[in-house]
Amino acid sequence: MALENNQKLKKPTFEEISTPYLESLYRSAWSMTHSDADSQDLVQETLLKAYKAYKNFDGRYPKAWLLTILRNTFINNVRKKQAQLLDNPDDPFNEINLSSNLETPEDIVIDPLFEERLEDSYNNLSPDYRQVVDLVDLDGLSYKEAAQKLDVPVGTVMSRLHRARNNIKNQLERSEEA
Amino acid sequence: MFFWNQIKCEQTKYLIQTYLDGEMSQKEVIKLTKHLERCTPCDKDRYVYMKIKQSLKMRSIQVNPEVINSLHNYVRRLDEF
Repeated sequence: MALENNQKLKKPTFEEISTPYLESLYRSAWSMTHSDADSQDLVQETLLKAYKAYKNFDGRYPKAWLLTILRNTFINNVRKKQAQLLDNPDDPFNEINLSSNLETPEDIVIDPLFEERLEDSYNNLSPDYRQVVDLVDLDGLSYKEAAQKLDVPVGTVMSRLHRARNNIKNQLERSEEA
Repeated sequence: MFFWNQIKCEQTKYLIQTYLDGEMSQKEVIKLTKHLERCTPCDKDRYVYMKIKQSLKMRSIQVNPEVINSLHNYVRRLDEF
C-alpha cells in the first residue's frame, strides 16, 4: 500500500530539484573558470543539459547529478578549445597554451562526491583547526598573517594547519573505504 | 645536483602542504618536485592535498544574490525552450 502511494507521488519539477543547488553550481563553476561571465555561461549550459536529461533522471542525489553534468560540461568545453587551437597552428597563442599543459581539466574540477565528503570532514574539525583552515585556505592569509591574527607563533599555525588537513585526508580515505 | 631521494617520504606530507600554500623557497620546491617525479605514492598525496585546498577555497567564493536570481529565472524559462 505504502509502495503504491509512493509510486503515485508526483515527480518534482526540474525547477524544484535544481533551485536549491544553484549557488553550489555557481561556486563550482567559479572555482573552474575564475570568471563571473564564464561561470554563468557554464551553469546555464549545465542547466539546459540537465533539463533535457531530466525525464531519465531517477531523482536520487540531485546535487551530485547536477555537479557531475557541470564537471563534464567544463571538461568537454576545455577539450573543444584545445582541439580548436591544435587545428590552428598559426594562432600566436598556440605556443603558450600548448606549453601550459601542466594542469589537465580533470585537475581543475572537483569531484562532486569528494566535495560532499570534504564538507563532512571540515565540519568534524575541532574549532582550533577549523579557525586556521579558514584563515589560510578560505581567506588566503599567509602563515605569518594568520599567526598575527591569532596571536600565536607561526610554527603553531603550521602545525595546526597541517594536522587539520591530515585529519581531513584521513577522514576522506576512511569514507572512501567504507 | 639534487637526488630525488634527498627527501624522505615521511617528510613530504608536511612539505607538500607548505608548497601548496606558497610558503616554500625555490630551492626546496626543486627538491620536492624531484621527489614527486619519482615517487608515485607521494605524488598521489600531492594530488589529494591539492584537491582538499581547492575544495576548501571554493567555500570562500562570494556569490552575488542577483546572479542566483538570474539563474533561477533562467530555470523558469527553460520550459519555453
